[in-house]
This record gives sequence, structure tokens and C-alpha cells, in this order.
Amino acid sequence: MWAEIGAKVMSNDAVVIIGAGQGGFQLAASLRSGGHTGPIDLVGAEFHLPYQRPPLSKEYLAGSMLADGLQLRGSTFFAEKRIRLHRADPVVAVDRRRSSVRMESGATLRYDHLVFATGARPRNLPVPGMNQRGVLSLRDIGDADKLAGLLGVPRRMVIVGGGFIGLELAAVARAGGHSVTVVEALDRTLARAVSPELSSHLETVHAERGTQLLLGRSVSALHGRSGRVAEVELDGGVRVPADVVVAGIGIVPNVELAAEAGLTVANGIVVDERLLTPDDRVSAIGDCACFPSSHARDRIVRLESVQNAVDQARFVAARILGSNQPRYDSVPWFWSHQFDVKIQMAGLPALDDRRMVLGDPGTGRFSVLRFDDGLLTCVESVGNPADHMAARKILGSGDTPTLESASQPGFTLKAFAKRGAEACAA
Amino acid sequence: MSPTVVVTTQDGEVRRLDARHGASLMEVLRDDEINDEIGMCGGMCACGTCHVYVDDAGSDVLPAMAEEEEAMLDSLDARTDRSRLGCQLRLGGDLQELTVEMAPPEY
Repeated sequence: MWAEIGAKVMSNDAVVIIGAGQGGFQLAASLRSGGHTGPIDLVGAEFHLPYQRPPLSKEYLAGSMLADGLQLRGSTFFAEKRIRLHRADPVVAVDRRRSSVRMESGATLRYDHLVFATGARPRNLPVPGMNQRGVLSLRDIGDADKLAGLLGVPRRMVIVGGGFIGLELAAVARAGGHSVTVVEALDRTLARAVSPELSSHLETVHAERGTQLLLGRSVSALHGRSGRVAEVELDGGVRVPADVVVAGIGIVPNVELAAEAGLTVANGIVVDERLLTPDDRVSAIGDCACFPSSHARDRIVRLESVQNAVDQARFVAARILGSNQPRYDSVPWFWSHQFDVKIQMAGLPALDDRRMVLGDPGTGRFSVLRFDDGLLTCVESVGNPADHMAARKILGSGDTPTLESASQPGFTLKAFAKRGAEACAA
Repeated sequence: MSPTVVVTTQDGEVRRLDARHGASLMEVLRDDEINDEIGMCGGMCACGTCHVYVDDAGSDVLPAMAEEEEAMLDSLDARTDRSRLGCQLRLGGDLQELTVEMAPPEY
């Protein structure tokens, strides 16, 4: 039901949001700040107030941020905004025929709009010995607290997986003086996510700071004593002593509830370019959703980042409030901090791309430009926020440089972005 | 007495806000819903959305600008010599009053 008041359209529809993480929280907040007057139920499995995850592998783990620094808002926010936050009471069933959900407590909620923001869970390390003490994942506050507790004394840590979580964790542990070995099955770190040039740079930084990197190796078993891990056995039989093992081998989208409700799932809950499932009352956002990205020539992607969760939440809020923006097309961007290295990325690489490096990696300030079919689609920047911010503008404008023009002497992303802005203003 | 922030929004509205001692300017503005974008990176000096112009930018009660903040500000087209990032300005202690304007959005 819609009521138009002045220029603002207000909706009394009931919105139920499954998942109270970054995306779910943002959706609730943006609905209210956009003028939504109907009920908003934000339903989460965790007991904590909605919080941000990035510091769990960085500042929070290192002890330079306290728990309240993680919270996205204080406890009074939800009551003040009439957002009904349900904590530690996850949705266990969705009945699309009755337009309702049932929570673990048995309570049910009716919806006009249902949004899945169920996120993802860490992939389990599928080896013997994975259930011993000292073996952890790193996804939620409980994990981070457990790990921080273990790091109170010098440890021999083995990190399984050389992705962003693994490398960020390695940096924190090395800075804390612990012995760190990262075991990565592929031939380079961050193979899924970044260019070989960036992998190589980060591997050099890590090696210089004492992280032992074992590339092209995998874990076959975890051995222990009295239920506590003591050694990691690799392919080939070699054993690495370890009293803390962290599995950072990726996350699996929480799609089961959606699948049981008869929605199509693949690598994520399948939605269209407006983040809608084929049921026009049901959407999905964030880590759990896969969608066609205009930054990847409509390839179906699932993006794991704060920006994706937040921007998709804002898009769906606007859509529910009546916006007819034809598609979600926010420029994907991402950051990582490892030691004193600041990595920022904008856009998405093609599966088969051509690359060039601007600047000198030896200085610690450079960018890798990645081109698909001759046009810029992705920029990875190290120590160079100017390149990153310019890249975000360029990739959002649709006016992108070719490999040829970027190769000209004197080319800078900043100048190209400015030129594009001036052309629009003209 | 809690610290006070006086902010002029991008629409020209002036708001007077009470801040929690120890909160960053970004958190104060974000909690007051100054706009929908601010604080995307959670205060990690990585997104530029908390860009403000400070009335007394040279004042020595403001925390000194670290290299990270300088690099981020340098990347913003709307930067002036009064620019600071709100996530780097913590209220309380010597900083009891802060008057700022929201910088225009970058995009």
C-alpha cells in the first residue's frame, strides 16, 4: 500500500530481512532513512548487535579496537528507528505461499517484501583431525575472541589458505611475534582475487616480514595430542609443528533456506540485475547473492565485500521505496591491510585479461591496471589512494581508457578521470 | 559535558550534535544520518566518505594529520586546505568543540 505525501512516496509494506549482518543492517537503516513507514524485522542468528567483520582479521584481532568499535550502531538505534531486531533467533523456514517466515523460537512474521541477507559461512577444512582444540576458522566475533585468546602467548600458527583472511591474519600474527606458516594449494596467494603482479608483491612483503609461505602445497591431516592440535601434515607426508591452525579457505554462501523455499540457487541465491529472485517479493543481497554484474559483462558473480553488501542493501531499499533504477551497477571496490601495506581494488578482472603496471612496485606505491578486450575493468592499487579513487570514478563513468592510451608516457588515472569529468561538464 | 559538533550538511542545513566522548567525528555524523554513504569502510581511512571542511583547520587541538589521511585526502577532487577525514578526528580531551561542513560528494 502506498501513500504519497508531497514528493516523497511512503510505503507501509512489511519488510522482513533474513540476516542481521552488514547487508541486512544497511537495508533496515536505509529503508527508514528513506522514509519507509511500515514494519521492518531484522532477523539474525548471532546474539551480537549487527557488526562489521573487516576488523576481525585486523585491528580487533590485534587488540587495537574494542568490541564496541565493531558495532554498526549502538543498542538504542534499533528501538529509536522502530527496527525490530531479533537476535540469536534465526529464520528456520520460509513459506512463500503464505508470505511468512518462521524463526527458531517458533515466532512467525508476515512479509510484503522478503530479503535474504544470510551471508556465508567458512568452508570447513575437510581433513582428519579438524575438530581438535586449537583449530579455528575466522568469520565471527566468537572466532576472533578465541583466536585473540590463543595469541596471548607465543604460538606456532599454521594458516591454511593464502587468501585475504589468511594473509591479513598472518600479518597480525607476525606483528605479534608469532611463528607463521601459510599453506596455499595454488601456485600463488590470492589466486582467485588478484593479479599475479599483486600476489608477487605481497608474497615478497610477507617473506620479508618472516611469514613462511608454502605455495602449491595442501594439508592432508592434522595430528594432535590429547585432543589439541600439534602438527599439520602436508601432501607428501612432511609435518609442520603447529599449536594454532586457522582455516582460511573461503566461505560458502548460506543458500539452504532459499533452496528449501523453492528459489533457484547456484553459487549463491540467484537474483537478476535488480537483485530480485523470480518471486517479485523476494530479493537477496550481499555475500549470499549471485547476480549479473555490469562490471563483468553480465557474468554472474557473487562478491564478498562490505561495499557490495552495503550498496546492494541501499539499492534494494530504494527499489522497495519506489525507485525505478533499471539495474544495480555500483562499482565494486574492496580494501585489505597487511602490515603497513594498504591495498585497494576497484572493478572486476575478466577471466582472461591483459595487464599493465603503473608505478614501481619496489617503491611500495603502484597500481596494476587490468583490461578486458582492450578496455580497463579493474585497478589494484598499493599505497596509492589517488589511483584507487580515480579508478572508481572512471569505472563508474563508463568512459574507460584503453591499454594503448594507458601505456602512453605521462598517463595517470587521476588526469584521465578529471578529463572525463570535464568532458561531461562541457 | 559532552563534546559538541556543529555541522553544515550538503544541503546547507546546520545541525548541532552532542558527541560521545571518544567517538570519531565520522561516527557522530553517521549516527545522526548526515547522509547514507558516510563511514562505508568503518573508519579505516579507506573510502573518503567522511570528508569534511574544518572551521579552524590549523588549530592545534586537532590531531595531527598522519600520512595515511594525507594520502587519502590527496585523492579527493573536493579537497581544500581545510579538509580532514572525520574518521581520524576523535572528540573529547582537548577537542571539545568542532565546527565543520560536509564536503561535496566525489561521485
